[in-house]
Amino acid sequence: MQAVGDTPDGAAAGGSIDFVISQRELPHATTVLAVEGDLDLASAPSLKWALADLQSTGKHNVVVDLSKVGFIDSTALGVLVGAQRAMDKGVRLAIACAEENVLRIFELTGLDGMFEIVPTLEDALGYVQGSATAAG
Amino acid sequence: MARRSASLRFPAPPTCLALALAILGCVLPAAAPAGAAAKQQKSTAGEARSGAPAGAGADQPAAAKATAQSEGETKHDAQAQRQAERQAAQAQRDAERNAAQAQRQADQAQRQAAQGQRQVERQAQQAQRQAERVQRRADRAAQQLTRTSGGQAQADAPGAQTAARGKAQRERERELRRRQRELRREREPRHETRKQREAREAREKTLGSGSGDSGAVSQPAAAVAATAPAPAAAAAPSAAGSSTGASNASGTSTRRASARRAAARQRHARRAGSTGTPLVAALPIGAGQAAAGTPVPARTHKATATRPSHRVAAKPSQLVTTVTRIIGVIPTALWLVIGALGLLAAMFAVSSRVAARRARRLARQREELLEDVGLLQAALLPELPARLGPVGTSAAYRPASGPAAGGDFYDVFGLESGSLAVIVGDVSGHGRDALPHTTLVRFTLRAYLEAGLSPRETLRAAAPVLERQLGGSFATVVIAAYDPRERRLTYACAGHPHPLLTGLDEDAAIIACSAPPIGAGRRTGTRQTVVSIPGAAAVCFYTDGVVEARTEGELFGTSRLARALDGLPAHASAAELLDRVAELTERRPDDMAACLLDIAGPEGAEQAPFIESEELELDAQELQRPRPRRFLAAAGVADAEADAILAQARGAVALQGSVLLQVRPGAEGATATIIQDNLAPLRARAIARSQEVAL
Repeated sequence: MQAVGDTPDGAAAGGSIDFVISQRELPHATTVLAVEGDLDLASAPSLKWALADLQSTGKHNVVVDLSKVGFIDSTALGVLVGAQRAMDKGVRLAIACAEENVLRIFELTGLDGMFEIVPTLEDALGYVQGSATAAG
Repeated sequence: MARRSASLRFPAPPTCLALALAILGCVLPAAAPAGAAAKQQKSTAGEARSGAPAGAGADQPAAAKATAQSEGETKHDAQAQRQAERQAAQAQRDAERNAAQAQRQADQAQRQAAQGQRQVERQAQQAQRQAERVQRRADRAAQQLTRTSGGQAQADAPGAQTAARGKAQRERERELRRRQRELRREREPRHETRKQREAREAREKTLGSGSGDSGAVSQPAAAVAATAPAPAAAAAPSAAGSSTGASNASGTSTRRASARRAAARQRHARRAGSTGTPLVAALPIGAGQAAAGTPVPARTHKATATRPSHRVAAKPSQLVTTVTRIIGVIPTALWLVIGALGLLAAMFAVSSRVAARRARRLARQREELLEDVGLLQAALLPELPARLGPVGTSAAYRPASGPAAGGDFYDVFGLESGSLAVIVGDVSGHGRDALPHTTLVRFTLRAYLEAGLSPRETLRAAAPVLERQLGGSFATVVIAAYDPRERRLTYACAGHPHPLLTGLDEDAAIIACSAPPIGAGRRTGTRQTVVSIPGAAAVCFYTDGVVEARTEGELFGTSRLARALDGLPAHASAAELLDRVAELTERRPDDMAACLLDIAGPEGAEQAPFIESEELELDAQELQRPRPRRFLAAAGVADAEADAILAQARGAVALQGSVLLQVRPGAEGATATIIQDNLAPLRARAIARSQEVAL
């Protein structure tokens, strides 16, 4: 579980709050996308491209870490929905989030049932890598 | 329309223009000769005449002056001389007037002549040759006169013989008259208009009377003035001012003068090439010594103009003659008017063409814009009646300025059951691409509602249909039906915020187990809420753009919106609500849409709305997850009762594939029941059919 890479993938001046996505490659073909800032209309495209890149490179378990996200709007939810639907069979997407506002938005929109949303990054990694070991 | 008028308008000016140009084109070459035709005779004649008198005219005053200086001068002679001088001055003034008139005529001829440069040059050459002939003739006449007058040659010398001078004068006069007659016969006009003929006759009459009345000295000048004003003007000064007057000198001076004239002719000829001033021929007469340069222009024109008339005469054509006559009587003012009209026609033609093109372009753009606007209006802004039954309705839409514009939609309409239906939604994606999806979702949902399904059943039935057509997009939507008799509002959300009701806590509705959006790949239409509205209340449906507006760096949020709704005056409209939101926020990154139902309360009823029931549809997969338990907990169902109801639900799901769980909150605890819905039997049949196929 060591960080293979830590590369700032994109930064978008989305409104008043700075927005950063960092990408880390982990064993078992797992990639963590850590998002900081608000996921809104302005920043959602960056997340979309990052997810699209991962999916184009082959089978990847993906953990989207929203621990440092204060707000997520319908556009960003749409990006996550699209990513979830495009996931290959045998790989998993998990969301690590403990922020009340974000959890409430997931709940309110009925998408909490669509994703595996867990409180911590460790829980998320355990979920996706458990699937990987099961598949392997 | 614009095109037709343009095509009608357009040809007219060019036609006018072409007509005008055609007239100008065919006329001007002919006009130059024609206009000047009549003048030609007088001018050439005048030249010849003036040439002759010039020498004499120069002599005479000089002689008179010499006589005045002589000692033996008689009083009678002095008087005669003064009279002669006065007459000469008079003649000079007349000549100047005539010259001015001739100048005007010549200017006209010049303008016409400018049109036919080459022709003018030929004319100039001919005129030059003729002028030289005339000049030679004039020189001869002058020499002859000098010889005959004899003593006149010594006019300068004091003490000249008066008697001899009188005789010489008489002889000179006779000779002059004879020569004038000859020249007139020679130049007898062949094609002169009536007007011109009259003018000539008048001039001849003047000449005759002038010579008859005036003294011998004035006569030549008068004659010159009458026949050829310009030369006269030249001649008169020269006569008056010339102190040389000696005919002996005239031989050399004439030669010099003719050399100058030749040079001037060449200059004029060149200038005529460029400016159309064919002044050349003018000079012939030069009126003797002094005049070569001065008053020439007027005369020149005439001389030049002369030539064409000969040509026309040589090839008489009925058409040309007719046109020439017509042209001849058209005054300058009319020419100017014709020119101005032609110019106007050309301007109108150009401007109408430009205007027509611009009109077509604008019409095209307008059509495109109207198409876009019409699309937007049809998709987003249906016209709402101010009231539907007992309920006041209003809706408002504020598109975001920027790339996020578009995607929100709403609709409010009456149902056959007497209920009032509301649809408010937001399609993912923005701009033009979202518009077709908004209409698709709105009308599909409306159709199911009008077919009699409840809001939840509508979503349940329509979502799979819509998902296949949304092409990856998804839509959040809230559907509501208000039954005014029951005073009951039933609504179902799919990934969309719950409506707000005045008097009802915004957290009252259970958000656990909310249904996902249409097109998210998940079963939706799984939730429904029934609210009882016993008293007056306002119900606010909105899109997430409203609560996602930013104020002081934060989201506007549901709580602020609820407060803003409560703060509105009674019977306020959705537009007023959005205006209030706009006042309270600095940034609105997404579309804002809102729909308000203004529900009046019965007399004396001040009771606040309350939630009557919450419904959740569960399938086997969902029953395995912890969500249903959260839902029951949020509704206030005790754990023990929750376990019991979930166990009962699993049993029902095994039979029907899904089960509908209903929770009724109450003062002494919520009650949960499993109820049948309309769709359950349908689903059971579908499941049975698929099993048959599988078998």
